[in-house]
Parts: sequence; structure tokens; C-alpha cells
Amino acid sequence: MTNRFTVIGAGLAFLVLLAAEACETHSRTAVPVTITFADSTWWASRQRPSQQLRQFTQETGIQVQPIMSGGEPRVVQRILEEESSRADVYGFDATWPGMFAEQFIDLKPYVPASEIAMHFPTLIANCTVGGVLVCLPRVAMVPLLWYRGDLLQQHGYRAPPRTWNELEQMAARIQAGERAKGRTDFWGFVWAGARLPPLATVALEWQASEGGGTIVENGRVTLNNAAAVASWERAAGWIGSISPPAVLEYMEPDVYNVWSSSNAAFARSWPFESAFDRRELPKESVGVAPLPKGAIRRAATLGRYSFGVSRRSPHPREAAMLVRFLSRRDVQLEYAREFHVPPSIIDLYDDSTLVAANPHFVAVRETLVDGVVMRPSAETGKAYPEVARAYVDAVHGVLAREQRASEAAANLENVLRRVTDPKSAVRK
Amino acid sequence: MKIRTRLTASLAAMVILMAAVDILAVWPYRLVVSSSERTAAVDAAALAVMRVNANIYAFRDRLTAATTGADVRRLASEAAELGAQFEVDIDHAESLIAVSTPLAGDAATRGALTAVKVQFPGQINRVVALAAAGDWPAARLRLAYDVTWLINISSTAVHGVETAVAGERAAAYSRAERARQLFVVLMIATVVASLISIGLAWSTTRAITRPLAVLEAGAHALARGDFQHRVAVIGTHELADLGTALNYAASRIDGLFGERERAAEQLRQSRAELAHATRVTTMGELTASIAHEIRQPITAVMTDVDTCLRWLSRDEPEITEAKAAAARAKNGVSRATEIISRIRSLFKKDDYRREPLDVNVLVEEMAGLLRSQAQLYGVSIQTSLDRELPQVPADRIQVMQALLNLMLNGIEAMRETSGTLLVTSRVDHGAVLVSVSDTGVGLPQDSADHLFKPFFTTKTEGTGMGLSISRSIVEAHGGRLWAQTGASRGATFCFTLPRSRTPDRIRPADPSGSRE
Repeated sequence: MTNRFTVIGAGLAFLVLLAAEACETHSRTAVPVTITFADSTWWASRQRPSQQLRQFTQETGIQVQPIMSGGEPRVVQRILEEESSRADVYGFDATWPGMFAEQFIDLKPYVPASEIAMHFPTLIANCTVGGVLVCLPRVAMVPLLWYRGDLLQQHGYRAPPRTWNELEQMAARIQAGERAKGRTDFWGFVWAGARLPPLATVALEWQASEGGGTIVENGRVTLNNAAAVASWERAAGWIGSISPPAVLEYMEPDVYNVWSSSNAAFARSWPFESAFDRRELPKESVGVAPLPKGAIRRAATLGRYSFGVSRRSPHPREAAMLVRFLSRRDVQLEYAREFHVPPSIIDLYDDSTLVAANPHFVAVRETLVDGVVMRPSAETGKAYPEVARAYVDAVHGVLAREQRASEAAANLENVLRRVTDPKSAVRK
Repeated sequence: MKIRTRLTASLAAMVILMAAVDILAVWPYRLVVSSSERTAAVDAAALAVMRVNANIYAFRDRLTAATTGADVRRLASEAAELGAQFEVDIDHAESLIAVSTPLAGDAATRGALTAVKVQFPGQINRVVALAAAGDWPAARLRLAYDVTWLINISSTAVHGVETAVAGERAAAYSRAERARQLFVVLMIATVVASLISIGLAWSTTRAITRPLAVLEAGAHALARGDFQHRVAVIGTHELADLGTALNYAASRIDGLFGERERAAEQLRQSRAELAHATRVTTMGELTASIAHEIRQPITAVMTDVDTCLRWLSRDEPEITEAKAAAARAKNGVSRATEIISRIRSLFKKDDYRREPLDVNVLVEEMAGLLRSQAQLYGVSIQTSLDRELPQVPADRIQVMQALLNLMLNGIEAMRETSGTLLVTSRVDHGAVLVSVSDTGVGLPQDSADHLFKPFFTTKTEGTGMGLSISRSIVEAHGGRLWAQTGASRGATFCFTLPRSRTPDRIRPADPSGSRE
């Protein structure tokens, strides 16, 4: 009897072992830390940055998972607040620190001060909100004046325009000259005039350079003034004369598309990676200069981008390591070499080899040192998108000749006062 | 262990085994099902993403075609149509990706799709806006560069889903391989479980059938009369208890049977003694007849001796005649001696002996013995014997006693009336049948039931044992004894003696007539 039960027992034990063996395959070993990385522009040049992420993983053992984040503030805010779709590291537009500072950790404990000091102070200042370093710059993105060196020479100019007035004259003359050659669709100057957020940067540059203020300063709306109104009026005057009527529908890609296809002499555009992907124009005919000055100063807004770590990241230390890595000197250098994107580290502009290969870096440095104007996101906080929208609507109305600049400025001032009123519920 | 407990345990073990095997079978089934579900989900998501990608291509190509005609309305309507279609398709793709296990976690692919989803409507609007503003070259450039860039992004999504599809195919293959291995394991497990079940069933069955076979053999032995047989008691279960009970019953039966044997033996002896006593008594009754029977040869001898002496006393002795007379005298003496020895045998207390017996001879001897007795009552004895009568195995003395009883009863019945005693013999149904008929007073009414009971008699001097003993003698020989009342008068008693007797042990039957 005993041995019979032994046989049964052995049979059952065998089956149990089989089951256990099958279970074994379901268990997993612990995975290393994975950082999710959200940046809309990352996708523009997906391959190379992926190489850098791989390098980071090799160096640290930390996995990085890039995800797409929408570029619009509304989308960004949703992503930041959605528990499920949150990322550890976010790519920042220049307006983000002012809007979303409380969503990000202070990077200063993770990054040595010496490393922070290597970047242009302007960029660090943009990333610092209330003494908290919410982001670390990776590139120095400023708008530049792109010009056709060959056409300037043909029409008797040796240097790009230094002021808006010079730009107006040169554009008109080159346009006339080119049209005389039969190029009826040639224009002097193209810029992003669509009734969309980019117009806010363009118009801000005009008015700020003329001393018209930066929309909201120290809690006060500063745009209903003669300089601002005059700058808008002048731009409205460009339409149909040196700028195509369709510029009112242009966005940044259209500006570069039109200019690079030899349909314009000047363009206000950004040194995006994509700008150097295309080589329709011979290299020697491409000129890049800082934006022209107004009556007061040169004014160039800041674009993206820098990186910050979400306050809700479960791995802030590892995420900060990624941010620090992306801003690192050697990483920026490599990135600049490969994609011609201006670095945020000052001494890289002393690298003669790099600058020789990227002549526009000179204009970038000049702009960064003297000529950056901040969009008022720090002033307006989360109300900035609304402020920008109202501003764009007003300016576009002027440009489209739908209303007079002075009326528009007055109306806008009233609107923005309500929006930016500290007692209003709109602003946090 | 009790058979019930064992059966329950075996059944439970088999159920557990089967359940275990079933659980094991669920494994590969689930593996295959989930694998096919995953693969199908990934395939569907891949198709949807490819459709989105194709949409963007179509968008670029159709709008580019529309810009050549510089027809804003056509462009706007095409864009609206494509935009609506795109929205449906990308939502579909996103929802499929969200439920597809490998793709839901693929941030790159989902991100690319999100990028396309976010960018695409803007691109449509910009192209239409540029066209509406009359800047067809700018619209075309948008399509050529920026929408192409969007295509590149959507292509990364396509690449992502293709990778996922390939990965899922590989995973499906390895899962199928795993399922195959599990099927092998399942088969082994099934075989093992079956073997264990067979073993359990066999051992349980054997635990019942083996003791049952032993019990059956014991029961057969008991039926055969082998009361010495004892079954082997195996184990401690119910059948073992049954075996013990059977053994006890057998020993009890054996004891009872031994007692019965001894009682029967005692009865036989008593019966033999009684028969002897009866014979002696009967012989006493026959004294006159016997004396007469013996005197006859002696008288003849006397005569022969006288004759012999006379022949010898003559002057010329007639030797020849004297010798003849002496020889006759010698014969007479022999006959007398024979008669005496025959009578003596009836007084002997001999053991039962079986030998071939010629019933006719016996009948004639008894007729000879009783003739003179019968003549006293004016009764004549007649015989009608079948000369072809076979010999039967029988005890001569006993059969003689029975026959004597019947004949004496017949003579006695005709004591007052005189008559004829007829003794016949013939073969009936393979047996020898002897009948003794008288022409006397016949049997009393309703006496048939009592005739053969001990101590029943109609005679004043009878012991009442004659017919009873006679019947027991006949039955001990395997035959029957019965009475027939004549239609007019007289009675007939018949008995049979079978030519062979099957019962292996011949014992005198007990008066109650019970047979083994």
C-alpha cells in the first residue's frame, strides 16, 4: 500500500514540477531604469539624436525612451498634467519656464555650477524662474536674417542690412531688380505673418527693437505706444510692397521654403536643423546676419530648446543625468558639427573650425550677447498663450488692414489688462 | 485499508490527476490563443498605421495635383475630404495601437503617430491658407517639404509597426514552439497520469478480485462437501472479514457433519442389530417350518440308510444298490446341511456386504423355506420368475430378510382363509422388480400412510418393525418398496432393486426416509 501511494505521489509531484517549470518562464528579471523623453522637435532629425541617446545609455546604463510631445502649450500642459502620459524629461520652448515652472524640479542640485556657467547667461536666465533652474539649454535658438549674398552683390550691396530701414530699402531695390529680369513672383522680404503664435515673436521683435516694449512688463501692459504702433504700421506697409500678400498666411516653414527656393532676398528664419538639410541654394549665396536693429536696439526672441525634469518623475536623478548629458559641451559640439545647430555653450563659438563650418554662429553669438528679447511668459505665466493669441490677432488685423494700428493697440491693451490682472482668475 | 476507503482514494487521486492534466492542457491553449490574438492585434494596428501613411502620401500627391490647377475651391474641398478621412484613420490606428500589447508600450511609434496627428491638420490648413492667399508656389513648397517631412515621421511609425509585426511574428513563433513543447509535456503527463490511473484501477480491482476468487474457490469447496477447505485471509478489508466468516462456517459445518456421520453410523448399527433381532424373532416363528424342512431330508436319509442296510444285509449283498442308497443318503445329508447353514446365516450378525445377487434364486430358496409353513395354513406358494433377470448388486442377507418379511406377511394374511401367495420377478425400468401378492384379507383402509412406520402392525403378535426394516433395506439399495391394494381382495407389495447404484456410499436409510 505504501509503495502504491509513493507512485501516486511521485506522479503528482511530476505534474507539479511541470507546472512550476512552465511558470518559471513567466517570471522576469528586473529591468534597469528607463527614462521617458518627450520632445516634439526631436523627431525632425530622429536618427542622429537617437545615436546620442544610445551614447547616454552606454555611459550610464540608463535606458531612454523618446516619446512625442505636441509643441503647442495647450497640448504640453495636458501632457504634463496627465498622469498616464507623463514623461521624465521634456524638451522646452523658451516660453515654458515662465508657464510651467512649478511642474519641474530644480536642476541646480544635479548640475555643477561650473557647468551651468558655461552657457550663455541669457539662456540660463530664461531657464531660471524664482531662483529655480527648471531647465538646461541644449542649443541657442534665435531668429536670424537670412539673405542672398549673391543678389546683394549683384545689386550693389556689400553687407546685409543693419536696421529695418536698410532692410526695407535693400529689399525694395533687389526686388525691383529681380522683377525687371522677369521674375515677377520675386519678393524682397519674407516672414511668418500667419495669424498663429509665430507672429507673436516676429511682431515682438519689431516693436521691441523700436522701443515699443515687450507687451507686458512688470505687470503692466506696454504696447499701446507710438513706437509699437509705428512698427506694426511699417510691417503692414511691407505687405504687397516687399513682402508677398500671402505672407499673412506664412509660417516659419513657408518663409524658409520661399526664400530657399530663390523667391525672396531676405527672410527672418531660424537656424533649425532642417534649414541645413536642404541645399537648393549654393552655399556662397547663403548669408546669415543678426536681425536688423530698430530705432533702439536689436531684438530677437528665443526659441526652443532646453530640457527639464518633471517634478513627478520617479527617477529625477537619472532624468537630470540625461538633461546634463544633452547639455554637455562635447555632446553639443558633436550636435553642432552634425546639424549646424547653434550651441548654448559660450566657448564653443571660439572653436574656429566649428565657426568656419557654420558662419551663422557669428550672428547667433552677436544676437545672444546683445539682442535677445524675452517673450512675456514669465510675466503672464499660464495666461501667456491667451496673451499671445490676443496679441497675434491684433497685429494680424493691422497687417491685413482690417484695423488701424492705434485702434488695435488700444483695444489690445484693454484686453490684456483684463487677462494679466493679478486679481483675474485667468492668471494663476 | 477498507475497500470503500481505497476506492474513494483511488477515485480522488484519478480526479486530481485528470484535473492536473487538464490544467496543463489549458496552458498551451492559452498560449496559442493569446499569441494569435496579439498577432492579429499587431497586424490590424500595422495595417491602420500604413493606411495613415498612405493617406499622407495621397494628401501630398492629390493636393500637389490640385495646386497645378490653381483652383482654391477644389483644393479646399479635397483637403477637407482628406482631412476628415485622415482623422478617422489616425483615430482608428491609435485605438488599435492602444490595445495591441507590444505597440501600446512602443513610445516611439505612438509618439510618431501623435506627431503626425498633431501636425497634419495644421499642414492641411496652411496649404489651403497659402493657396487661398494666392501663393501657390508657397503651397507647393509646403507640400513638397513639410508634408514630406510629415511622411517621414509617419514612416517611422510604419517602421515601428513593421518592427512590432516582425517581433510579434518571432514571438508568436517562439510561443508556438513553447506551446509545442508544452504539448509534448502534456502528452507525457497524460501518459503518466493514465499509467498511474491504470495502476490504481488495477491494484484496486485486484484488491477486490483476488480475495473474491479465493472466496469463490472456498464456496465451491464447501458446495463439494470439502469442509476441510479453508480460504486464505488477505488483508484487513471487508472481503477478509468475509473469508474469516466463511472459514468459520466451514469449520462449523465440518463439525456438524462429523457429528451427523457418527450419528448415522450409530443408527446403522442399531438398525442392523434390530434387523438381526427381527430376523431371529422371525426365525423363531419359523421353527416348525424349519424343523419340517430339515426333517424332510433327514427322513429321506433315514430311508436311504435303511435301504442301504437292507441291501447289505441280504445274503448276497447288493453292493451296487447299497452304494446308490448310501449316495442318496449322502445327498440328503448335504441338503440338510445346506438348509441348516442357510438358516444359520439368518442368525448371523454379519457386516453389510454387496455382491451380485440372483434374485430368482433367492425367491426360490425362500419359497422352499416357507412352503411347509404355508401349507399349515392351506396356502400355496407360486412363483412367476423372469428367467432373463439380471443380477443386481445387493446384500444377500438383507434382501432375503426383506423378501422373507413380505412373504411371511402374505402367508399371515391368508391364515384364516387360505389362498395363494404369488411371487413374481421382472425387469422394470432397468431395475429388478419383485412383487409379493396374497389373496388374503387385504390392507385396512387408510393404512397406506402408516404401513411402513415403525411399530405399526395389524397382527396380534407382530413387532411392527417388519415393513419398516424392509423399506429401509430396499431404500439402502437404491430401490423402492410400496404396497398395492388389490381391486377385489388381497394385497401386493413390490420392491425394486436397481442394477447399479450411483451413490458412492451405501448406508442404511433412516426410518424417516431422508436421503443424503
